[in-house]
Amino acid sequence: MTTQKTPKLLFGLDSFGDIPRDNDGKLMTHAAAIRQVVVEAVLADKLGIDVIALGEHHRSDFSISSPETVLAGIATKTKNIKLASGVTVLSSDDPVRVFERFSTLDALSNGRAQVILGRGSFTESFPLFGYNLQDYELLFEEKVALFAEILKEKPVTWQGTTRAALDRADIFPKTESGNIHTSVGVGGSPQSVVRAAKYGFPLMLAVIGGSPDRFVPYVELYHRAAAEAGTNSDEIGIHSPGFIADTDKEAQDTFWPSHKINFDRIGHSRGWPPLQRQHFDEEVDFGSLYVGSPETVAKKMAKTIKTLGVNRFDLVYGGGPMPASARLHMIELYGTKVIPRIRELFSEQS
Amino acid sequence: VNNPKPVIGILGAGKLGTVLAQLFIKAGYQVYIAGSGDASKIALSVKVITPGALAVTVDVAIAQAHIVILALFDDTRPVGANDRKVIAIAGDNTSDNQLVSKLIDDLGFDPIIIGELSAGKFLEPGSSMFGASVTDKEVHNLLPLARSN
Repeated sequence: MTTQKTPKLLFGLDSFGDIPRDNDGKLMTHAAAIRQVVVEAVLADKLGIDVIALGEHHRSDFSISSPETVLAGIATKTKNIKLASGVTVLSSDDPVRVFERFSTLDALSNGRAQVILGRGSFTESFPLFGYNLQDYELLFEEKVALFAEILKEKPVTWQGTTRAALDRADIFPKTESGNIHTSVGVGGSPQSVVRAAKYGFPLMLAVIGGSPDRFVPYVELYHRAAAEAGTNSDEIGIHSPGFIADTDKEAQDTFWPSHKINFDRIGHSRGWPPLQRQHFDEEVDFGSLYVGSPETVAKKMAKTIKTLGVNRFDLVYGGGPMPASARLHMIELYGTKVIPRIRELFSEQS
Repeated sequence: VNNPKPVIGILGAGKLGTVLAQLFIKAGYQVYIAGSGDASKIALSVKVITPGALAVTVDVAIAQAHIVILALFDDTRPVGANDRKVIAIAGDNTSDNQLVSKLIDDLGFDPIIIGELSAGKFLEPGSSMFGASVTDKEVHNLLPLARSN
């Protein structure tokens, strides 16, 4: 049996720019919430956290609708941290413009830009940008194909039904590395896994509820589909929400009310019933909420990383109207305690 | 063949169809699953994610099977467990209701018939019943609430 070299574990922080509370308990403005994310990213960079990923929403409870603009702000104030979208809803965007924006971000950050492409689990962007939700599947299929061509950074000739044709179109700025790191975010559709493998894009699994074990077959599918397509399948990540405080109790007490507001607000527009504490506790104990002391969260994350065989974990932080100070403290604990502890747990095993 | 189970056809090989197929296979049903277009498109996914199911075209799934479309979560329990979750049924035909009840019971949920088809509105978005992850007892508390709204 040959031993494969395991890629280094990477740890990220993900945000949608939820609106935090200031020191007086007042909700920040959208503008202040965006500036807060920049402050948090600067801290994450100082602590050596590998990635910050910002996702787009187009609704009042989230401040970030244009992740790469916020990332550009972060780019000039940080040194090492990778700057990712999480996700870029490619279906309701233009692949040419997406490349232009991220290659610009790549320039400003000295090659730290990353794109995570997705179909989006919210639908607001479709009517907003003039797309028909009925074309959900086709829009993504065509645009991923076009984006994969554009990524080669050579003149592109392309024809489809979802945007104007391109005839030897050369797109600028070019990157210095010749490559923007591009992944596909998947929420549970097997075909999206197969599609990521087909293009050789790294896979990011969004696991926002239930037991992470359910995604083991998706990892297997990704490896097998990549083998069939002759592409590489070394990079697989997971994105799940969590919160860290000094003790388990403090973490749960701080996160629960904020998470409930967040969940119920989204639930209201989708017809879900209000979140019950019992369901929250089940998610914390057995599901996909990584909430607790540094030791609790580290052990739970390590278990998931091992079970799924992934090499990147992006922890979604700050869900709901949480105190800004609690978010900062969480990032500090993540960088100084949780990540080192997970690395320690893995080195003990090998 | 004694007591043959009905063959299940699932249209849609996405997130929902996949969970459904897994549950039906676990419960011992024969499952046909179809995505859009050619069956070869979903062959590998079906083999890895829902082993035991047969990847077919929509035509074949419809021709070979009953069709069931339900929104489910994968939180099953054996018969008699006191935290067993409910799937509610609204239907006009008694024998159809019984058939669907049996399916739901086999999957690992308690079937509760809440009324005729018109009562289905209590299970739609906006009702306290929609998407509710609840047990038998809790349904009986929620139902009057849903009716009064």
